Amino acid sequence: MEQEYVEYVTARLPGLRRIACQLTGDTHRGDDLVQTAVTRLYVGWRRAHEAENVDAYVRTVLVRVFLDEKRRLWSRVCLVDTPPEPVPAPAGDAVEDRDLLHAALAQVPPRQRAVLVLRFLHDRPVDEVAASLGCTAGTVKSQTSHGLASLRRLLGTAAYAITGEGK
Amino acid sequence: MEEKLLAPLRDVPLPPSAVDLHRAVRDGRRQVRRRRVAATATAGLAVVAVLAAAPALLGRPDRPAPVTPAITPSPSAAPMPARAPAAFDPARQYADFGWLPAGLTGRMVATGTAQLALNASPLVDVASPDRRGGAMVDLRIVSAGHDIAFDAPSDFAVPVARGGSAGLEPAEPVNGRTARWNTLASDPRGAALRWEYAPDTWAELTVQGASEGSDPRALARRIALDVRYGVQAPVRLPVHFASFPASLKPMAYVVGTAADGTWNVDVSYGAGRRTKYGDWPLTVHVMPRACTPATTRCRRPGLDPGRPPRPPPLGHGWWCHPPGVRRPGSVRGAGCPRQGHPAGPRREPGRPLPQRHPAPEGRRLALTSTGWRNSYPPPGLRPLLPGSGGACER
Repeated sequence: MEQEYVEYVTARLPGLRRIACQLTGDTHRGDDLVQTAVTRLYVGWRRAHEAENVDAYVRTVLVRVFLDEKRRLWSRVCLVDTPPEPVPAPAGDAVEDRDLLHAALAQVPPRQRAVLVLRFLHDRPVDEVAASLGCTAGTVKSQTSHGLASLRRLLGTAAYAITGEGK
Repeated sequence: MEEKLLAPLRDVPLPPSAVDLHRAVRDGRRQVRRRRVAATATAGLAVVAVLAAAPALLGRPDRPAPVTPAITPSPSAAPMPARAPAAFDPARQYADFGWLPAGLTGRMVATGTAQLALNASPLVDVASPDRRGGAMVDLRIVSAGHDIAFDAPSDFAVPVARGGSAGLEPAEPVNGRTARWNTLASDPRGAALRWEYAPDTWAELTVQGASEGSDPRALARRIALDVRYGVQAPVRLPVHFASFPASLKPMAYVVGTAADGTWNVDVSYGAGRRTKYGDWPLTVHVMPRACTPATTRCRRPGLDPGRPPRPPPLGHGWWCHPPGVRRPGSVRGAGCPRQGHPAGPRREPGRPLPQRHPAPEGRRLALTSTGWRNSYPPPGLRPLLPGSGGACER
C-alpha cells in the first residue's frame, strides 16, 4: 500500500507542484503546500486509492490545503543559513508576462484563483472543480466570471499586451 | 480567450523540488499513530472499567505460572527510583541504557514531559527486509500518572492501558519491581518487557529482530536490568537559540545520531498547550545540509553497494525546515499574513515589477551554532537572511 503511495506521488509530483505554484505564486510556498497535501494524502491513502478518480481526489486535497492556508501557523519557522539560490529564468518578455500575471493572480481571492487555475491552466471540467471546492457548478461559473473580471481589472491594459486577445 | 489570458503561466519553470516524500510518509505515519493511540486509549478505559468490576478474574487459580526466561549473567542492578518524576524535563534525558549488545551504535532520544523514548539500532537500513547487524532496542518510560504511548500499538497483543499490567504475562521482577511480558505480535524474534520502575509508573523495553540463536526475552531482560534512572543528562543539540521568548519552553526533543556522524533533530517549544492540530506552537526540524529532501538516502549512508558512502555532513552548514513551513524565499512580507502585509503591490502598467518586501518586523529568534562535536555546524555561521543576523520569524 505504501509502495503504491510512493510511486503514485512520485509520478504526480511535477503536476502537483505546478498547480501549487500557480495557486500560491511562489515555488517555495507551493512546495510547502504540496508537502502538506501529500502528507494528508498518506493519511487518507486508503480512501484515495478507492476513489474513482484518484487524480481528482488529490487535486481536491491540494486545493483544500491551499484554501485552509490562512489557518496555518505562522509561528512555525523557517531557518536556513543562506537564502536559496534564485531559479535561473530565461530572459525576455515572457518572464515579464509571467511575473505580471503571477502578481495579479495572487491578488485574486483564493477561491476564484483556484477556479481559474484549475479550469484554465489545468483544463479541469466545471463539475470536477465544483467537487474540489465543495460547491455547485453554478458557483464555479460565477467564481470564474468574478475571477476573470478581477484579473482583468488588476492587469489593466497590460493584460491585452500579453496576449493581444484580452477581449 | 481566457485560456490565452493565463497561458504564460501554463509552463512556469519550476526549481528542483523541495517536497520531501520521505518526510511526508514519516509525518503521515505519525498522524496515523496518533489516531490509533487515541482510539486505543478510549478502548483501554473500557477495559480498565471491566477489570475493576471483576477483580477476581485476575486471581484465577488456573492462571499460568510466571515464565522464567533464560537469563544471561545478571549485571549489577541499577538503583531503582523511589518514585517517578511528576514530569520529565524535555531538555534532559531522565534515563539511559546501561548495557547494550555490541553494534547498536545508532541512537534516538525523544523527550517530552510525559514520556521518554530511547532507541538503539545498528547502522543498517532498518527498512530493508534483509537487514543484518543486530537487534533494535526501544525503551519507553513515562512520568507519574501517564501511560506508555506506543509507536505501533497494533504490534502488541495487549494495547496500551493504564498501569500497563492487566492481562499481561507475569515475568520475573526487574530489580525487585513487578514486571510483565507484553507480546510483540509483529515480530517473532522480538520481546517486550514492562516493569513498574516506580510505584504505579511503568517502563517498557522492546527488542526486535534478535538474531537467530539468541533469546529475545533474555536479551530484553538483560538490558532492562541495567537501565539507569535519574540520569538527567542534557540532550545535546547541534544548534541553540541565542535569544528566545521567555514564554516558550522546550516541550519535546527528538535527536537521532548515528556513528557515521549523520543526525536529525526536531525541537519543539511551547507554553504547555498543543495547538488544535496537535503540534507544539514552535517546531524546528534541523538536519544536515547534505541531507536534502531529494537525497533521503543520506540517512542510510553506505547502503548502496556500488556507491561510496556519503561523506559525513560535517562542515557543510545546515538548514532547518520544519514541517509545513515557508521556505526561505517566502520569508517576506508577501508571505506573512499575520504581519498584515498585502499579497503584493497592485501592478500598474509601466511600473517596475513588484519587489519583495523586506522581512517583516516581527519577533526574531537568532539561531547559532553550539559547535557540536567541534566541527559542526561550522564556526562563524552565516546569517540566515542578509542583515538579519540569522533569524527566523515567528
